[in-house]
Amino acid sequence: MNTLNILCILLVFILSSCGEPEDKTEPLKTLSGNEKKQVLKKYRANAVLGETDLFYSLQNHKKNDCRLCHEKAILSHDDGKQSHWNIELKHSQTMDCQSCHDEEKPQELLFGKKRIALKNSYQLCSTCHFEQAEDWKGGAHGKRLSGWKEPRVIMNCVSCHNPHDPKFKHDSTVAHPEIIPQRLKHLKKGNKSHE
Amino acid sequence: MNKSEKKACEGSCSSSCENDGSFISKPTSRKGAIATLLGAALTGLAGAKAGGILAEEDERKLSDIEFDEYFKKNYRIMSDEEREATVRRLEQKSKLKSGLKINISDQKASEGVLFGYAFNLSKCNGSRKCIEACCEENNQDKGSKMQYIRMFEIDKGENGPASGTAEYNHNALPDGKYWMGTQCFQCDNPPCVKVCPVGATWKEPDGITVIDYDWCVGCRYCEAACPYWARRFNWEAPKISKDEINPEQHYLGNRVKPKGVMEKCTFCVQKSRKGENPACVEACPTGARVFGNLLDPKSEIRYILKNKKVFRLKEDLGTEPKFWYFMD
Amino acid sequence: MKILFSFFCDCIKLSFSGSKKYTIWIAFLLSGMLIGINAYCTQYKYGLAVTNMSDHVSWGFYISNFTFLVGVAAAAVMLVLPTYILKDVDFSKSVLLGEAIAVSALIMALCFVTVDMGGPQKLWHMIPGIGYFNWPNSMLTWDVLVLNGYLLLNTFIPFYILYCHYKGIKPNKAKVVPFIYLSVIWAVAIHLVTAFLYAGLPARPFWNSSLLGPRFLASAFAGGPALILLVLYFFKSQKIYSVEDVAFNKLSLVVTIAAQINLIMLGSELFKEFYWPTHHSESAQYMFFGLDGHHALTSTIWTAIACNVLATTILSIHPLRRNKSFLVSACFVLFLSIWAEKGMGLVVPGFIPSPLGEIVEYYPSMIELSVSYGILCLGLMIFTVLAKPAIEIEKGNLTYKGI
Repeated sequence: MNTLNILCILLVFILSSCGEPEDKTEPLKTLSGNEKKQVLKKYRANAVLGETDLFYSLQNHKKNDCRLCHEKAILSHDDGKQSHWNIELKHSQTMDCQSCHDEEKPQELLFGKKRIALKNSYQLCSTCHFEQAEDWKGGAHGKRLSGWKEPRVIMNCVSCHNPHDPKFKHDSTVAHPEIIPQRLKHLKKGNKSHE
Repeated sequence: MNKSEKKACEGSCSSSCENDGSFISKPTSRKGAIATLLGAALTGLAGAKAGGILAEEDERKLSDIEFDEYFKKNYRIMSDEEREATVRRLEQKSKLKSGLKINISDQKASEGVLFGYAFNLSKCNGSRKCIEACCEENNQDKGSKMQYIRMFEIDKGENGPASGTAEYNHNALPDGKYWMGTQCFQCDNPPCVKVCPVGATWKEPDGITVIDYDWCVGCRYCEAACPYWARRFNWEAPKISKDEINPEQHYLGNRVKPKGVMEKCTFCVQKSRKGENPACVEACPTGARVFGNLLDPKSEIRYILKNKKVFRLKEDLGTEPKFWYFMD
Repeated sequence: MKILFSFFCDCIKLSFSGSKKYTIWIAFLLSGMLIGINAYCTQYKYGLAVTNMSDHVSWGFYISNFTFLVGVAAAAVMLVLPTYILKDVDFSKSVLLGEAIAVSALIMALCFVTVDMGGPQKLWHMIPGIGYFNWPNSMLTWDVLVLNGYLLLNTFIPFYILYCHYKGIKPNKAKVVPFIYLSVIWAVAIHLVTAFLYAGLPARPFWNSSLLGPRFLASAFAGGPALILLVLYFFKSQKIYSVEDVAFNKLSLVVTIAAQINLIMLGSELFKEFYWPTHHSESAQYMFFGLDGHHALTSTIWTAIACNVLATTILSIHPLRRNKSFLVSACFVLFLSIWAEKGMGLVVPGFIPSPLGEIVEYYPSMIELSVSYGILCLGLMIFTVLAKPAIEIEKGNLTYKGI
């Protein structure tokens, strides 16, 4: 019967146009050694903990970058002022300058007998802040600078935390992108607003 | 619209009716609609010519492009050559229409990659820099200020996002609040993919749910089906100026959409397939957003899933979103 | 072939000529359609931004009407079933008109869906073979199949019967009865599938209930036959076409029982939402009582329910139901209240609050109302154009006068 034929053809069409598309992927492009070096150069990153391929960089946070002053030992100032006269230490009530610094060798940090280069300051921070340090090494703390692929370049502790006054101040300006779509402003009433 | 309505429409308002070269009221075969399409395309171009914008040859090129673009297949089932062809056509179209040179990529998913995302509720401070960056990167409509990310401010002790508000305005971070951002979670079992009648949205092998914007018919069934309010519709033609457009685009990602189609966050497919992080992840000032390859056991996202207490929204719906929240 | 051609010519001639009242009616409908077309042109040019829909409430007046009209179309089965399958002679005079209503309602529903699309020029993407038809995953594809199939069935069956009557011969039962059986099952299918469009979405707890399908069927079988009854009464009172009282009685009984079942289902839903309200009850909370200061739909829904209860009560009382004026007013009120409850009262609260808890309200814009009015006039026009020749053929006034 004619109608039956039409229905059959329709069914064939329907079934032929269904079906999952083929799985199309490309091989994952990994970086060559040279390309990796380029990335590290871009972020001025140094290799640390070579076995886990973890890299970090010192960012130019002017208030936190020790190397701005301490490329080499400075034992005294010409103007007679004492060094760091204006630094107020607000880092746990039990700490003082000697907790981290050796006045004879200011370009290094000191933890007991162990000398730590400034670029490896995280080793000192992690002696107390071991939980955050583990998270930082794993990826749950801190900020990644490179893309998600290798090499991994991340910010170090002092990129965000001022070691002399680590607590974040709540004075950052909050961005307010205009979030109410213009077109329907007359229809929109926000639910509970916490002004 | 039936035949009589269409006829009346063409008679009374052909100059004002939108003509992207493709108004057909009855379904016909591809080849069978040539005459109607050319007529419509020419009418559309008449408008452009009236503005004295296009030269003769450019007009012809543009109408050829629009012809081919109208009749192309669903990107999902195109061959590699067809994909390249459509991408070249779209680049050319942009050059002809506005003089803007753009690069549209058709880069495929990489093997061994499944993207995952984590959001640290202890670190987010509601700065909305992620939303700013997303809008700069993804060429959304600036007229209605379309945003893929919705940032909720919630009282500590309350369960968000329903108890919070996305329409907060502060000049300083208030105490006693926490912030929670939502966007498309690229579900592994996406309800939006299941309901699309034309298969215009699908899950790519690297886990991103994508949309072929030219194939979408604008029925908005996916918008009703999404449990996370992730999908956006272009209720009108997107308004975006030449300087605002990000020229590095992907066919399935941040290219400028036509009106009447859906779009959403694609984990910046134009960046993530090149190995970069999505714009929101890069912009976050506190490092609250983490992105990576779920199939790489050394990745940051895997560390979080292994060591942190994570949760996802609406787990009970079985959507398997690839976006986890965690706290320190 | 000659007879077929003459059949169409005669029908068209008849449809577009008539008394003065009839001409005014056609002119009125045409002007309404033009208003709709004009509004749609604006919408097509600027995009759906001219409606009041938003990313929060992404379906509105158009889809509400679509849902309701599919129900009206399904209701034709309430006449077809008794007439052809139960062989109830009393309905035989009204069944063709019922099917004409079904066809008009179905075309209106399809128009409403088309005007709601962001890209109607791309609808060919749905055609299997040349497009990509996501069947069986997407319920919308099922809907496309069943609605178009039902349209075909409901066009073919009455056409065949009328054509036979036009030729003066008896329709061949064997050619028609299998399709009639099919159309009865199909009518239930179209409305169940439309209900499944909503019920299958886990994101919308207001819709995600197993009762939605049966509720749709109950309200369709109450509202649809109510409309058919009103139309038949109108024809009888205007002396256009007379149907026996016994048909009215039986039809009104169908409406009554369906309306009662509808109320029972409503009661069941109210119990589930409000006995122990959860987060999933927020949409019902919004609709009936308002939420966080938003209460645009409360007056509508309470009026609709009150009217529904009143109408059902009147219909349930035998002496009142047999009284023509009570019957007609009750059917009218019932039809409107079901339209409100199943249209705006179903689609809009499903979106409020949004899946993330935000509340954005909705009411239709002028463009939406104009386009809907245009489609209404189109439906009435189709019904008129179908009904007039059908009535004349059934009365025996229009037959083939060839050799």
